[in-house]
Amino acid sequence: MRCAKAQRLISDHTDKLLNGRQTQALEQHLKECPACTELLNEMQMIAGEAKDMESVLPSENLWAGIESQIPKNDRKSRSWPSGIGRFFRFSLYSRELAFSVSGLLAGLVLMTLFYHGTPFIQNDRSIPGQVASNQFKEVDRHYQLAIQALNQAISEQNVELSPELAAVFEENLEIIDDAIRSFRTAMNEYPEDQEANEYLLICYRKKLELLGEMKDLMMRSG
Amino acid sequence: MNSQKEKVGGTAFSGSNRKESLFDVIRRCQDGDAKAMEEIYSDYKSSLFNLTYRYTRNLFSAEDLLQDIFIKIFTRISKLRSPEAFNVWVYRTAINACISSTRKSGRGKHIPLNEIDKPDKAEADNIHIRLDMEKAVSILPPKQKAVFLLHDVQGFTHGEIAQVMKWSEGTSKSQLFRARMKIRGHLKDKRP
Repeated sequence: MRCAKAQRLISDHTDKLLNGRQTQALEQHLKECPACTELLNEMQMIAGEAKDMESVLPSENLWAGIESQIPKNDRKSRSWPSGIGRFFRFSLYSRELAFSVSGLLAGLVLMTLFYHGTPFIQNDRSIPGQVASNQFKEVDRHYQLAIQALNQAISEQNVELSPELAAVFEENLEIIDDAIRSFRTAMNEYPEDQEANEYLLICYRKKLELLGEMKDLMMRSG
Repeated sequence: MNSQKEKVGGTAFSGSNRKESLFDVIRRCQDGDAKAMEEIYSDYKSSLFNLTYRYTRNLFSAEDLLQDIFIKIFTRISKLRSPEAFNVWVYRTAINACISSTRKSGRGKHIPLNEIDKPDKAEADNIHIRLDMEKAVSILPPKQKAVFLLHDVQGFTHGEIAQVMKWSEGTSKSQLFRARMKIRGHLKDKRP
């Protein structure tokens, strides 16, 4: 057996994948070839060390971030906002609420348009209150947890709104969620882009405001 | 993010204590059940995070990539026709995302290994070995890295890898051989 063929078999031999005849032929070659014997020893060492490679675990709250980004029609057990149309019936504050969420909506659309109109390039312009990348991750997680907590609080309210009002909320939440997804995508592609970070945080704040407004409204009417 | 000493091994669900079958959980996921999605996440997060970490070489980037992978999985799971193919499909999604992230980020990125390389005293003798191995794995081409991580680190068979990568078993074996030879070359330089 030549060394080139023996080398190929050595990898499989390390994993005990050779048949009897192949094993016998390889072992015969190894008796006569110190270089291939050394290769076998090193292959076995590499396979052994690979099994001992250290394991890393993601942050405990990563799921909250993932769940918040799964489109709501792809998950159903979250009571808010997918079932909102069924639960909300009254329309006491619909006009003032529609007005305020419309303002919010307009702001968000403008912000998204402005952002997407800006080339995704790193710039040296420093933004006041710029959040460093690692700090941003923490802030990001806190926002996501706050949003989750607020969603939970809303889902526990035993109040029903009018379908029209519910639709307004749902529509605006969808727009905010779309903006969040856009900025997240931008951040994945351009992790150093501080503007995307800033705008994502603004989106979270807007979402919190909208959910907070929703919760207050439900509490007042409950 | 945590670092732990236990082995990264075994495919997902091998250690799951769940009474319900995987297929039932997948079906609930396909119906949009958020609880089932969380179960899937819990079972796969460690295994997939160890893949994303070794491609991004940065814990924060690895989390972002892991997040993208799970979002892809849960937004497309309703289109999965046979639950039997779930495991292969999950790892194929993950490996494709990892390879794609490598292409986007380029190969010249720094390797901040310090985050997982905080040794305790008992490990002092072994720390350089692990560091060398991490660095050796980091220089592998993306597909060879996939085979090495799946086979030697996570314990996949060549048959499973062949399904994930859409290769023959022979290709999986030869890619593993090449990966090990590259690692050997790197370690030889480090440990003359």
